[in-house]
This record gives sequence, structure tokens and C-alpha cells, in this order.
Amino acid sequence: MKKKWLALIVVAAMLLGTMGTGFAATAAIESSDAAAEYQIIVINDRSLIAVSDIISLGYDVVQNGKFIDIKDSTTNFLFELGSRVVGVNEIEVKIDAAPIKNGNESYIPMAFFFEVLNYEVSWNQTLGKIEIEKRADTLYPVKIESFGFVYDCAKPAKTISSTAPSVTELLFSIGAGERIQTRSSYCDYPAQASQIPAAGSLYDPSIEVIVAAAPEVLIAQTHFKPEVLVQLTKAGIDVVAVESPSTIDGMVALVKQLGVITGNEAEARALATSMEQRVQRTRNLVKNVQRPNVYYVVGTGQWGEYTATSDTFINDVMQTAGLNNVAANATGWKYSLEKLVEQDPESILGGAYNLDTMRTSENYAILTAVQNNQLFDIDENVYSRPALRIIDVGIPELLKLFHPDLDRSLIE
Amino acid sequence: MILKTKTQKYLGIVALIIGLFILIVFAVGFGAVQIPWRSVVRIMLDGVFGRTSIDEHTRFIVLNLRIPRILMAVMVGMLLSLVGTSYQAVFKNPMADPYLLGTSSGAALGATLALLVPQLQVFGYFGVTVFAFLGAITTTLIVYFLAKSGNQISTVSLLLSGIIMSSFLSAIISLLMIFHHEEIAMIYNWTLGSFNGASWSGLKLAVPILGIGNFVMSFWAKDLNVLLLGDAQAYSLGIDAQNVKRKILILSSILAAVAVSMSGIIGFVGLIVPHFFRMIVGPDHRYLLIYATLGGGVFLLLCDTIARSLLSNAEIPVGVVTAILGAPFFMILLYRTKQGKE
Repeated sequence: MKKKWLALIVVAAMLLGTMGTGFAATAAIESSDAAAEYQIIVINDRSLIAVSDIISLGYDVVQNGKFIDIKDSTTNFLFELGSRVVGVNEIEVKIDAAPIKNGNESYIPMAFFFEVLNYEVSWNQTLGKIEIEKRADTLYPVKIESFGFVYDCAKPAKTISSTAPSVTELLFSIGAGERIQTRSSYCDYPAQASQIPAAGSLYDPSIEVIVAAAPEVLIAQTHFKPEVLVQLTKAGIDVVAVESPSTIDGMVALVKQLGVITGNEAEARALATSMEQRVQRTRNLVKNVQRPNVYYVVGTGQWGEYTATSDTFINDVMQTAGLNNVAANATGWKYSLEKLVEQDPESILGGAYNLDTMRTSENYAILTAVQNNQLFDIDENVYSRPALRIIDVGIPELLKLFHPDLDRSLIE
Repeated sequence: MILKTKTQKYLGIVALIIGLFILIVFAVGFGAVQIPWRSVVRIMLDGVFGRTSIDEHTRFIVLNLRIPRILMAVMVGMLLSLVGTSYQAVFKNPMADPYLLGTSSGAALGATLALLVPQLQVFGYFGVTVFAFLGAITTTLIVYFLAKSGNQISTVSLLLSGIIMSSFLSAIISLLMIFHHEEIAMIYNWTLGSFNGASWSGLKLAVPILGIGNFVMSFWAKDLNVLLLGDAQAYSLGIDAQNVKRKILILSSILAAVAVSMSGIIGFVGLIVPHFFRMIVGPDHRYLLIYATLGGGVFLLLCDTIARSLLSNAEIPVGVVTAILGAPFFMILLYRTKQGKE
């Protein structure tokens, strides 16, 4: 598509008045070279655009029964009518709106489509129109500087090593999993990850195994030993040390960065948009709910109380899912038994071992959550790793536990 | 020696007891949750009169979290210091501490196994403490029998086998940590030592053991004095040094194992407190044992109070505080004693 900028002028009332119901309307499109009318449908607060308009914008579209195949030079979409799963090149992502058929016309989710093609889609309140603006394409070489390590990425890396479980999960989610040469022994998800040679721990990986695998780039995360990374750079392996995201937004940014490193940018944008849309929908859903007081136990008992404090990823997940994290007033994972008793949360989330400690030790007997047996055993790996599973499994699980009346159908 | 006469020594003991009591009352007012002094006093009075005038959670914090924790710190401090005193006499070695005979690594291995093997978690939360104790006592006994040849226990072979056993068990723990990397944090934290999990039921076990230990040890105070003179000297005075050593070692090891299993590994207390009081009251164990026991309680409670109130929302491992406070203090003392001698 040649147009660098286009704007869909949509009557404001049209968006506001269509909660949950869909109707077709026309919208004028202003673009740098021409003005045209486009057909927009709004369903569940998401705008869908007619496939015929996509064709007129210059995309290659093949419609075959329920399937709508859209191509541009680098990206191949496969939409299915009625399905929230979209194929983008080699991967599939779940979004919060499904393509529909209205009369003879098919409609596809507009924002998702343009976001994947690297447009910024936003609603301009004052002009009353949707603005779609092309973002700058990544120009290689890209320089990534972090933790004192400089990675000059001349072109997307074909082979990668990962030392962090969440990075490994995200690489699989953007379709770069098969290019991972070594992983850490903690990288146990998805199942295919276990086929990759393991190279020790996050902090102290086996340099020999990594050097022997000779990946173009090694991606490490927060918990690394600088000396090891220096050794690897000396052995000619480029190193990117990314910060472990402490928010969902940070995770989305990391997804896009991984897209740049691996060259799977369309897939990364698809995943990022899928995550963002479902999170945004969750946040809207819980906007006015009563937030239960919940405590997330990371460690407990004799070795002290550790929890997901305000500066942790898990805290952001809890807030997003409409919970009030009682430890949001503390930082650095540390808490105290006294404060826990003072806060007296209604429910406690954590791994089975920690919850057992709380159930059996007399020190926790006064807690309302213990007395009412509101201790919920969750998979700690899902919650502690900023990866797709938090969106697919974690947040829906929290909603199911604490806000069972809310409609999760577009989030799960 | 600062306190020379008998009267001074007795007065010193009274002062220590009063000091310990004041410190305990003071410590109850400190914690992660701010509770006004008036409330603390009322909660304590309520406890005596069986009233409930303060809200349930605040009361729980004071009565079930703070007080047991404070008493536990005192108990463990007393145990470690008592054991340190007796070990230093038995081994005639100023470097001897309660962990000398592999006690700590045995406890750590026991705790590690309890944390890792679900089948061992039959005792629930207490499992870790129980297995730490079993690990500590088993290791100590193995070291003891390794070092024993015939009826003789050589100090050198005891120290050697203690060190070797410690390294061996530490290696096994490291190996277990590599295979169970998910639980590394739990195991590591256990070895740091903390009173976070202290509870009344733990105290019910620690108090009688400390009482018995102290009582029995005070009977052996004179024997400890004689041991300092050497085995041959002891023999000429009609004391079977080997037998005395064996009794004291076994009792001390049990006490050390109890302390470690209650709190994890807390260094420095058993090493420096006895030395400190030896400089103050001299090497006579009839006094030294009492001083070291009380002083150990005071010292560890002081350290734990600092550990839990210095930072507003985090707790410093108490072992860090004992070392940071203890080491410089000890160095000054050592320097001054040296000066005095010259």
C-alpha cells in the first residue's frame, strides 16, 4: 500500500451508541491523495472494515468459504469468519473480535489488521475520526543498548539463544522458536522447548554449549552474570540483555523488540496487538467492579514473607484483573508477617507448597483467607513469566476466581 | 577481667537479667506494623486479665507473632552462646563454635530434604524443623564416632572430621539445589537464618531443652574448668577427661541442633559472646556459663530487633546483623585486651 497516511472520519455517536450491537454505516476516508467512503461496522466496541474496502486499498484478497486470505508483500493474514483466531504468516494469535459476514460483505477487525501492518490506529476525539498513520519501518542496522551491552543488529538474527524462560516462550509465540539454538534448563514451555539443547541456568549458563551452538545472538534477561556475557561476546556471539518486564506494557514492548531482533516483526506486532486488545478489554470489564483484597505469596514461613510488590509484573497482572493487591504498598518482593496480618486479605494466591505452609502454621491461623479456605493454588510459572500464557491462562483464571459474573468470552 | 570480686560478678548477673527484661519489653514495641506503645501495654495487660479491648489482628501481631519471635531470639541466642562456651572449653580452641561438628550442614541437609521430598512433609510446616534437627544430630554423632578411636577422642581428629563432613554435606546440598532449581530460593533462605517463622509451639520445644541444658551444664562447670588445664592435669585431679568431654559434646550437640532447627544458621553469636564475657568475668565456667547464656540472649535479641526494624519494609537477615555488629565490637575488645597485656 502506498498511502502513508489515511484517516477514517467516523461520526462519534456511531461508536458510542453501539455497545454490543453491530450495524453498518459508511465512513468517509481522508487520505493524502484521495477521499473515499469506507464501510465500518462496530461490534463490541471494535471497528470492523469491509473486505471490499481492503481490496480497494490495494491488498490481495482471496475469499474461500469461511476463510479470508489477505496478502501484502511481507505479511499473509488468514481470517476465518466467526473465529477470533487469526493466522499471521506462520503463527496464530487470538484477538478480541471475530470477522463477520453481513449480507454479501465480510468484515475484518480493522485496528488489528492495520497494527500488524505497522500503522498506528487511534481515535481522534476532537476531530471525531479514526486516524491510521504509518509508523516508520525498522531500518537495519539497529543498535540495541542495554545493561552496558551494545548489539549492532545488522540484519535480523537467524539463530538465537535464550537464557530466560519468558523470552523463550515469547520467541515461540512470535514464530521464532524453531530458531532457538540453546535454552536455559528452566525454559520448559512450550513443550517443543524441551527439544532444544539446554545450557544451564539463567545466571550461570554453560558458555561452552552456547559457543558450540554458535547462535548469531544470545538474549539474556535481568538475572544474568555480566562476566558470562562478556565471555560470550569475546567468543563472537552478540549479546542482548533485556530487562525483565515489570508491567504488561513492558511485556508488549519486549515482544516488539524481539520482533526486530528476529525479523518476525509482523508476527510480533500481531502478538503485541492481541495482548494489548485483550488486556484493554479486561481493564474495561473490571473498571467498576468491587476489587477483592488479594495477596500473592512468593515465599513464606521460616525464610520470611515474599510477595508480588508494587514493582512486579504479577502486581500489574493482579491490578489488571480487577484485584486489589494488598502488597502494593511495598517494593522489592519483601513483605512481613505482621503487615500481612494487619492487611488481612480475603484471598491468597500462590504455589501449593507455600499455601500448605500457611494452612498448617499457627502464625497464619488468624488470616480471614486461611479461616475461610480462600487459598488458591496457581501455576507460579504462568504468573511470574511475562509471556503469552499470562494473557491466555493467567488473567482469565483470576477473572474466573474473583469476578465469575463478568463475561470472559472475548478475553480467553 | 573487669569484674573481679564475687559481689561484682553476682551484681553483673542481676544487671544482665534486668537488661534482658528491659530489652524484651522494648522489642515488643518495634515491628513492621506500627503499634502505639499504649496499645502494646494494653494488649499485654489484657493478656494477663483475659480481656479483649484491642482489635483482634493487632493483638495477634503482638501476642502470637512478636512475643514468640522475641522469646525465640532470646532462646536461640542463649543456646548458641552456651554451646559456644562449652565447645571452646572442650576443644581448648578459641575458634570453636556451635557449628563445628557439622551441626549446621547436617541441619541444612535435613531441611533441604524436607523441602524437596514431598513424602517427608508428613509433619506439615514443622517438617523442616524436625528434619533439620535429625540432620544436625545425626551428622554430629557420625563426626563424633569418626573421630573416636577406642576410648580416646582427639581434638584434632574431631575438628578434621567435622570440617570434612561439613564440606561433604554442603556439596550434597549444592547438588540437590542444581537438580531442584525451583526450590533454590527456599533452601538458600533457610541457610541464612531467621526468626520469621517463630511460634509458641516452637517455643514449647525450645524452652525445656534450654532449661535442661543449662541446668546440666552448670553441674559440669567445674569439669569444664579442669578441661582447660589439659587431659593429663585433669586425670591427676581424678577427673576422666574423655568421659567429661563425651558427655559435654553430646549435650552441646543436642542444644546446637535444637537452635539450628529453630532458626536456621545464625553465625557469630556462639563464637563472640563467650569470648566477650570471658574478658569480663574471666574463664571460670561457674560464672562464664551464666554470663554467656544471658548475654547470648541479649545479643541476639538486640540483633533481631535491629534486623526487623532498621528498614521500613524489608527485613535484614539476622545473621548479617550479628556479624556486622559483632565483628567490629569483638575486634575493639581484642585490641584493648592486647593493649592491657602489653
